[in-house]
Amino acid sequence: MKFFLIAATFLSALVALIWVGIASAIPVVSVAELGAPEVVGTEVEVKDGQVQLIHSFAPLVFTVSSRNVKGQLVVVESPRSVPENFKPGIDVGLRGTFDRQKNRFVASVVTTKCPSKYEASKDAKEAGPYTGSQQAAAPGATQIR
Amino acid sequence: MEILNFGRQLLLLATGLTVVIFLLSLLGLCLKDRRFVVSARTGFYALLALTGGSAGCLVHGFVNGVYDCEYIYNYSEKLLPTGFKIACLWAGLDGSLLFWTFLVTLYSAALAFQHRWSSRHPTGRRLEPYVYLVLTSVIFFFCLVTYQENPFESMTFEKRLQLASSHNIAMDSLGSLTDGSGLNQQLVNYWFVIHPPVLYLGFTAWTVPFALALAALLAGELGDYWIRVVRRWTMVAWIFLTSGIILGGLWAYRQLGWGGYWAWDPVENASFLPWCTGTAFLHSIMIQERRDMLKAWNLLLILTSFFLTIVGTWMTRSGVVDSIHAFAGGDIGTKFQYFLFAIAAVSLLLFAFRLRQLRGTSRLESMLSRESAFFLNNWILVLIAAVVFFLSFYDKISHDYFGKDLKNPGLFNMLTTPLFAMLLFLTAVGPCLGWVKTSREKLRANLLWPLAASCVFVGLLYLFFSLRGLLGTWGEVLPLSWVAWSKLLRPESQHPSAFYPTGVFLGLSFFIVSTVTFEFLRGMKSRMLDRKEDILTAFFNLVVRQNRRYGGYVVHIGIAILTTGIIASSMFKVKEENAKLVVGESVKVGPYEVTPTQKTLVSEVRPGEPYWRDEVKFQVTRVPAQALPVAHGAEAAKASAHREIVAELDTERRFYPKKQEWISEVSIHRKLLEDIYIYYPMGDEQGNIYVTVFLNPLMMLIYLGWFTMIGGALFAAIPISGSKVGLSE
Repeated sequence: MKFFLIAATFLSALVALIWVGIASAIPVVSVAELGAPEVVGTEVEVKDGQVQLIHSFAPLVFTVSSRNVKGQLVVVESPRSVPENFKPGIDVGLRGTFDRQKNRFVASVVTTKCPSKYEASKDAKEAGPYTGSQQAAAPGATQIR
Repeated sequence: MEILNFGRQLLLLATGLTVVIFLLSLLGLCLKDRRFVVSARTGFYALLALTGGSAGCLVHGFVNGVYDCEYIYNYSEKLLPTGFKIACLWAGLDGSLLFWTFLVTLYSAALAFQHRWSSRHPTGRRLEPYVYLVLTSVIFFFCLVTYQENPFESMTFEKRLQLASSHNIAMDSLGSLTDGSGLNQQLVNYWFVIHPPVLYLGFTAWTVPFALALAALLAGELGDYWIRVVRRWTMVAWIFLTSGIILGGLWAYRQLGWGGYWAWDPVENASFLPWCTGTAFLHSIMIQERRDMLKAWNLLLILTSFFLTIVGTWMTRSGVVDSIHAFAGGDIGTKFQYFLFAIAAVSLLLFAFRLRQLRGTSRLESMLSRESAFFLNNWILVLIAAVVFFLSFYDKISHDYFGKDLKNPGLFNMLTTPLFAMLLFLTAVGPCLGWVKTSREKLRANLLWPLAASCVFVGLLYLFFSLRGLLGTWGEVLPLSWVAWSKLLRPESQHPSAFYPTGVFLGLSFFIVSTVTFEFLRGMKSRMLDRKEDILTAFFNLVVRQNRRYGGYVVHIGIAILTTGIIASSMFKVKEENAKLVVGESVKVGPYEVTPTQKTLVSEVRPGEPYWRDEVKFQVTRVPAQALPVAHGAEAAKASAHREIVAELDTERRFYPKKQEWISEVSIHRKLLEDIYIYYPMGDEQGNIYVTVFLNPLMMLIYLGWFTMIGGALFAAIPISGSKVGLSE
């Protein structure tokens, strides 16, 4: 009986924590939704950001657009480090708040996707638009010796 | 390409052989003829040779640069060092499946070899064919999936020509590609050679306990024989899985430049889930051995641990969860889903069928007993696994079932931190409790000194914080208001000296060390008094005669050390992010000044180094001034009267021409008390250097904790005391 009481208390505490966690969750929005009144001033996570232009590295200021819906551009400012492999065209994860006065998104977290070993795209399956200009091993055009 | 075709044929043969072994085991079982079973046993050695040969062929292809093979082309290149070329076997999905299959057959062959002795035991003999039936079923699945994914697949001439043209790669007179597209730049790191095999050894080792558990259910041999055999195999799995998880964290720390090592990413969670259930099993198995309790629970833990290893594989290969890592898509996830369904269905059906036989003979008699501590420990570990599992799918659940896109990255820490605290408390109290029932007087006597020592330790700790200027205000240390109480839910946002988590976790870590120390002392004192042994003999006899018990205590000390390292390095981290410097200019971080002294660009690739290098040398000097806050430029230069050079660190950014990607290699100066960690992610044409510096205190304790845990586990696994279970008895 004691065990069941302890287990019940334990589980109740956990359920309460889960409830608090869910209640305090951060909404995930797209770049296109960033200017919306219900989003301004609220901490959000941006799901479809893609870097378009880098303005400065310290502080980190850059422009993102939506990966899926082209058009809207949003300026992002962050006090954080420049993430790995940060460049125009790369997908970024952002967390922060849209500041209406500055008209920019102030990001507390900026992450780039880690190119994992299990990534789906394979060079051989979709030969990409690689120019080969810096290819050290085999300069010049295709050679068949 | 012939060698690769041969490798594929070997894999096909291995697939066929699993069917043959399965049939031999079945015949041995039905006809009650041991000759079939012994033949099946030999079959596992052949199976190991076939999968090993198949993997060897692929490695041969990597080393000799057979770039007409799509897999080799995608993950390798001429300039890679040979060690990395060998490791390329597990660089991608297809090869990692082949490697996984090889490891499963390796463990299966080892288990078959063990049966040369364990089949002398009547129960071992009865279980043997069932074990082989389960093992071959698992191996068959992996052989089949690997064969379908086909790491040996060669490209057509048209495809090669297209790649050669678009990627500017030379072809030889036979029309073969002479170079590959290169290994993913994140993987060109020595940890890539070490970490994946260790982790895979941990994952695949769970196949053996699963096979033994399912065989016990199939045969109805649910006595204590199988559980004693399975313990040592679980130790093997636990040791490799623990090492794999910690090494993965250390790889992330070394590679990713964010100064941390754990982020609750699905990849990390995938390995942590079976660790939780496996650790729970290693504790609850003792209750079954001692008290004949929790038989059903132990079986469930074993079955769940294996299930979770496959769930982890599915998570990281199906693209079902969103992660900072990019995962594969395709239909491989569907195959794993079917496999998971099959495992769950078979396990649960058999479990339900044998449930009556799984009733123990004893009952829990007192809350103040070691059994109850283990039982609670099991509950907490399983709860942690459940929470981590649920939160790994949090985004997906909120999106798919509630139509909302929600995230709560702080939820992992919020929910798991109190559970970890309870776990540490039980780890500390456990050794003070006896089996069956402990009197309050005995518990008080056992706990008094360790508890008093821990309280003194916490007091001294806060005195130290005060003397070093690390102590926050009363409101920051203790939750004195409702707002402060609500902040407890976000441990990572607390003041470094906050009682929760810092004081609680460091105090509990010390509590563990002190209870274990007192346990050692009590044992030694008892031997010295009863058997008149001197102190060294008493210590030696104590630990050798009960190596399981005292090895386990050493693991607990390792956990305490690891916890101290984690708390110190995460709560007392000092950082200066994204400082903009030029050569000769300094940034002050903690008591140090960090100055770039030289910047060099090497824009050529070399054998073994398939990248350009943008190198920056940093000089780290200690400034005796007490001022901790960060200062820049001229302000920092003034602050340095008597400087002591602490380290010269070389950081670099690497450019991989084939991938057109830049990647940064952090530089770490490791000291006993702290790591000086420099991350150089960006430079610009004006000569500006953007740098982030972390001071991570007591990182060395994470290494030390890991070594201690593994050392203790190895010592506990050595069969020097007790029965030689599963062997000749």
